[in-house]
Amino acid sequence: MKLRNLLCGALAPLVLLSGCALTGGSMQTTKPYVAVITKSTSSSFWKSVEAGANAAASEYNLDFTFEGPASEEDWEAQNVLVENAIQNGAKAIVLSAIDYTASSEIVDRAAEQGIVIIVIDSDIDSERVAVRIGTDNYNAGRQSAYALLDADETHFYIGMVGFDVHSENGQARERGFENAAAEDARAEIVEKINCASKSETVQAETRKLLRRHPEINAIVTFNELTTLGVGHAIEELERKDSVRVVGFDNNVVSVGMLETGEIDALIVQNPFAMGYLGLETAAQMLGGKAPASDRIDTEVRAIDQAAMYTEQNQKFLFSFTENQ
Amino acid sequence: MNKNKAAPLSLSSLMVLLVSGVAVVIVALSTLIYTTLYANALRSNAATSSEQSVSQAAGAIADYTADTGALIRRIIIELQSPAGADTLSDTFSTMVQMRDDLTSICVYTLDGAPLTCWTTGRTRKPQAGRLPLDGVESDSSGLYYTPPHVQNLYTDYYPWVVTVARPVPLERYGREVYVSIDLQFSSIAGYMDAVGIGQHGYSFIIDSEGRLIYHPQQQLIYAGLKSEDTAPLAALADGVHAEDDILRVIKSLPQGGWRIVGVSFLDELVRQPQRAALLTLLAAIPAALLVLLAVAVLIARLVSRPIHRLVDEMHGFEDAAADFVYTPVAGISEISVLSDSFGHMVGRIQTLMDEVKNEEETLRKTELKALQAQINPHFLYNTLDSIQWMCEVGRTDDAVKMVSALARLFRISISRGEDLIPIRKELEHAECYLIIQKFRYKDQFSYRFEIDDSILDCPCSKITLQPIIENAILHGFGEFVDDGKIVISAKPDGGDVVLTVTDNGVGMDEGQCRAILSHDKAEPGGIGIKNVNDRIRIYFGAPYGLSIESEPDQGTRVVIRLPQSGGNSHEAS
Repeated sequence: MKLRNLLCGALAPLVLLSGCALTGGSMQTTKPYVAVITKSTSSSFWKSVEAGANAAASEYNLDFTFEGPASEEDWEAQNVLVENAIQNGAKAIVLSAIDYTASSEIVDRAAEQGIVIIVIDSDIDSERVAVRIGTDNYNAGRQSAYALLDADETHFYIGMVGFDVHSENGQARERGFENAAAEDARAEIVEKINCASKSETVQAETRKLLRRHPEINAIVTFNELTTLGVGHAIEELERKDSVRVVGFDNNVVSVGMLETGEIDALIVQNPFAMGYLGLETAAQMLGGKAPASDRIDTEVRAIDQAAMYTEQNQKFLFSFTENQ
Repeated sequence: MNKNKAAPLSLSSLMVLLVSGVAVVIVALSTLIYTTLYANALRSNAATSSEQSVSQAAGAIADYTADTGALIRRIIIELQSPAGADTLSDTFSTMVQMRDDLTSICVYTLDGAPLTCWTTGRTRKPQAGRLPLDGVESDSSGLYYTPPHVQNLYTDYYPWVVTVARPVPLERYGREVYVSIDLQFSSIAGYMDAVGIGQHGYSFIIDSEGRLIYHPQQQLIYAGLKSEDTAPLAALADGVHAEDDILRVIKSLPQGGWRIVGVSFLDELVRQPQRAALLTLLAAIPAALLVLLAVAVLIARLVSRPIHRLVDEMHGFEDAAADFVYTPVAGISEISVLSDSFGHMVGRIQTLMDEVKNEEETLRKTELKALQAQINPHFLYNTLDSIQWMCEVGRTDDAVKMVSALARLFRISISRGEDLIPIRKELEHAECYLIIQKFRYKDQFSYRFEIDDSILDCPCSKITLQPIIENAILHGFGEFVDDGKIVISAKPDGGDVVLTVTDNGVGMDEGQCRAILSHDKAEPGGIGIKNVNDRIRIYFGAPYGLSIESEPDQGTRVVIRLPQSGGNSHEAS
């Protein structure tokens, strides 16, 4: 009797220990698939996001696809991409939502199937989002107001050039800008227009805006392509000395315009970090690690011409990996 | 063996514990020694492989910087030649085209303002950047290597470059100028990214001030996602530096003031393999213990269990030696020998016990018969004297009665050798005795029988009442009692028969009662009360026998309990 007890007592932990030792040695071999679905793939902003995603994917051993609709307004095409990702067995979806509400349903459905949902850059109306990564858009909007009003003018007649009204991040930036501008007595918003994120359209609309309101001496705009459109319009109308322009995001053209003066300051986000952190977070969550926070704010800087080439700003403004 | 003591450790448990303990200690010790040796080997291995990797990278980058120096010397030679501007432009454009990492060849004033730039396929911007030589020192060969910066010379083109410049007086410009080239990181990346140390180790380049020149994860560092604290490395000499978990190998290049830093992680290079080895060994320990347990079980089966059974058999024998039936225990030869010996011993002891019992019984019976056969000679002389006296004085009727009683007395005493007689006979025997004694004591006492007729045929050991009555007459009445009374009753009581002899004599105290029941032969030549009791017990068993209730000056009552039928097995046998 005593011997049997001893045996039972000894055997159970032994078997357990052997089991642990054996499973501890085994390695996971398949790469999990993560779908990154963005608003677009063409702009410099999204290319940086892709570079970041790529860096994280190789670091964390993930398979990933990087897709976005042809147009930054086409939420239906984006939903198709989400659907495809679900069909293709994505373990996580890293999404930048075109429309704050139009994709909620499909994202909820994906989440119900156990797919990890991570939002970068632009938010979606869903409670199933695990982590939101990106710019604090409201504060970025406020920063754009401070950058625009950082001049000696006695009165700012401001034209606002916004983009898609359904995009959560655009609305937050506009709200941030309006609230910060309202705190400054010199600021007066003359007109607010919304255009599709297409540089030619924006250029034409800005031209019309400046013709309608010749008194406008400050324009603020909220994403990469609208910034280019505004810059081109200023260049075309040769109004670079009389109109102060603050735009969003950077590419070689807008940086050139910052240098030549069509644009006076850029609110520069950190798209590389969004892509990187998006996939890093996905990898960590797929590895069973709970995210430290459901919200990661990436850095934003307002950079004007004088500060372009400071050591820190050039690191922020110019991609190291591009042009190599 | 005392069963109340805490059970001591069994043989098999003891063996398992001892062997397991020794095995665990040995395995643990050897594991410790092995992993320590292994860790040391891994550690020195890690340092060696890191050094090798860094040396490789350093060799490649040294070649690269040597090439760069040679390139600048060639450019200077071209610039010193009398060639025309178009020829120079062609030569330099070709140079830029031929090297992927070369973006431009420029000449700056000593103040850092650009004089001329050659490249291919790009438009020079009017507000071109200056030579960023602030805080940069020349290396041993007189070359200046800038930290990485964004080249700001051409429209829509912002590559990260390292500028290598050399001051030289040039006739073409009529003064001393900087001749410089801008180098992209593609070639350096090609060398450095390939340097892996372990799975996560890497190497990077810093300058003599500790500024980062190239890092495989430069973009992550620039985007603020990773950090590499390079400033403290400037103070470290070349060689291997271990810090916590990180092993750094630093090697300076002969040119450019650059230093290669190789980073590897002890956790990965040493601890993980060590852990893996440890896990394997730990997995082996349970396996070894399982084998040990199997061995222990086998030993238990062969040795311990038979011993246990043997012990159980011994307990059984201890508890009931007479009826014990021994079943031999199988096992290894020692156990068989033990078992056989024990079996033999059991048989021998049981035989001896039977012999002793038989002998005792025979002895007892012989003794009893002898006692029963004894005739108290004084009683006989006295009785015969009384009869003689009666004859002399002519009391012939009384004499006849006496002789008749005496004859019956002896007839019943003998009873043809039977031990058990019916109560009827025993009562008759008692009455004969009383008749005789009554004559002898001249009616100093009277007696009475109270008999239930239903029990007259029940068996009784003979000469049961007589010794008690004798005791009552001799000691109960003695000299002083004139009207002694003896009442003899016989009644059924439940399934038993109870005979009582009650007198009104002097009685006894408790000590005397006990003494009577424990002393043999109170009367010389007679049968003691204890003897009566013993005989009843032998014939009928423990519940039957005598009890005495007595009080001084009140009288004595002796109760004899008998069964209504039969004797016990002793008698039957």
